[in-house]
Amino acid sequence: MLEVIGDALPFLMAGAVTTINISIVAMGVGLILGLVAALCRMSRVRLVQWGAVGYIELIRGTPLLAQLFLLYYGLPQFGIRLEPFTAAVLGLGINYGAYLAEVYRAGILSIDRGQWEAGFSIGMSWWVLMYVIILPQAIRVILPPVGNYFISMLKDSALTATIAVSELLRQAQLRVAVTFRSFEIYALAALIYFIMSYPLSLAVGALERRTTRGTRA
Amino acid sequence: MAAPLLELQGISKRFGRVQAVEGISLTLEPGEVIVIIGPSGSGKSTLLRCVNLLELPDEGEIRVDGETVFRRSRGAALTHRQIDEAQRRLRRTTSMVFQRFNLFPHLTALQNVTVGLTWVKGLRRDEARHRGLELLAQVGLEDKVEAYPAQLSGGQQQRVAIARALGMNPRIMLFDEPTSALDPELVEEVLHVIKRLTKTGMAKIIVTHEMGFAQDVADRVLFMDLGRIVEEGPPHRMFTAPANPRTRAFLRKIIHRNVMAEDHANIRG
Repeated sequence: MLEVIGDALPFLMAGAVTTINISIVAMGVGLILGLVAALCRMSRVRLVQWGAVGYIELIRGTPLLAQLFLLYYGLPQFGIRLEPFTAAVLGLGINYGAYLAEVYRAGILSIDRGQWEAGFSIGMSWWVLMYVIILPQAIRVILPPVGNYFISMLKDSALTATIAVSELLRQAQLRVAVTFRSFEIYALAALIYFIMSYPLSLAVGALERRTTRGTRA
Repeated sequence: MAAPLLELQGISKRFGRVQAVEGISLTLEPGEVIVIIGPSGSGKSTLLRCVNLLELPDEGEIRVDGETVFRRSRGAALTHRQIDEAQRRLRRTTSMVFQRFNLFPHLTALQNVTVGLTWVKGLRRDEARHRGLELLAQVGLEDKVEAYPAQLSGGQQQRVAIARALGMNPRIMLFDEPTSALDPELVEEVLHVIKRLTKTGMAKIIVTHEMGFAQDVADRVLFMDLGRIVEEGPPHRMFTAPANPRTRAFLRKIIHRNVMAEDHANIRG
């Protein structure tokens, strides 16, 4: 058994690196899309507002796996062929953007109205106020849930094994195909996911405690 | 004759079924100090907030230097652009000091003052810093420039807020019950700073429950009740010989309360 694990480990570690890469890039995409969607949702222009709500609801109401399939297997019908990594990062990023939009929105709405009024009363525009006053304060509220979403991203990225991304779970599948030792290899893959996510989970916990302590003072 | 600095005409504002402000007209001359008094819920704060369009009046007209910057007939729709333009002009003319200070908690005292200078007035960082230090010195806080709002007393916070408002070089300062959220022993330092400002000749509209202060600084006192101006006049007459029975009843009640509070303080002190 040790031999099976020893043989598989280098492949799985390479997969884990890909998993981390995908998660980080996709999180970046999600954070940007989420912010844009959250801001659009607060727009005074109805059409922009509806666009954001449409994006958020549509994405949250459909399976991530279906979204990945659409991007990777569906788009080629229209002549758009994405690399597996690109499709994975876009799919996960677009999906998480919809959830993160709500995280941003909750953070922004948690800021006292008086902050807006003070900013407006000295002549700040909505954008300046958002950038200089509101977001820097909202970030304290936003950060812990963003951390949690990053942890689930690490695990959700396993779904991209289905679109031929050679991430951790896909590497495990490939090893199993060669060795037929499903239990040992999938257990090892699961353990590696756990080793990656648990420290992050602890960090988010610490962050949450710090945030709530700050707001109670 | 020169036009007044600010003219409100027929300003009304309703919140749901409550008519907060009803058809109020008033003029403010350059350098004039108007104090608005009245029971809570009488529409004083709402009126003040209509001046810089933190509340959008349902109806009425606002002129600055005789020029119309806001006009709306009852409930008429305004375009975003009309509203933005009116807000921009009125907020460039006025600065507001809030009851609850509304300092930016993530910025130091100095940054609270300079953030408007750099982001709104476009000053360079070093210019803004220099001006910010000057402003904080003006309100007696030169030793607190690096402190965060949470490290300051209520009185100090309100003085930072005054410095922040002053920094925008407004022609009109709007004070919305600037001492109502303060512990009694901190009220005086804030009133002192505002009084000193009145000597600089900047026009002001002050909503307050501090009657002694009102009598000291006001050129004109307005008594509001139920969204209307019930009576107005020079401070001496308003406080010693109010004509309207509602004004009399209000003053009797509030002066009685103040005397009680002072007696109480004397007994304890």
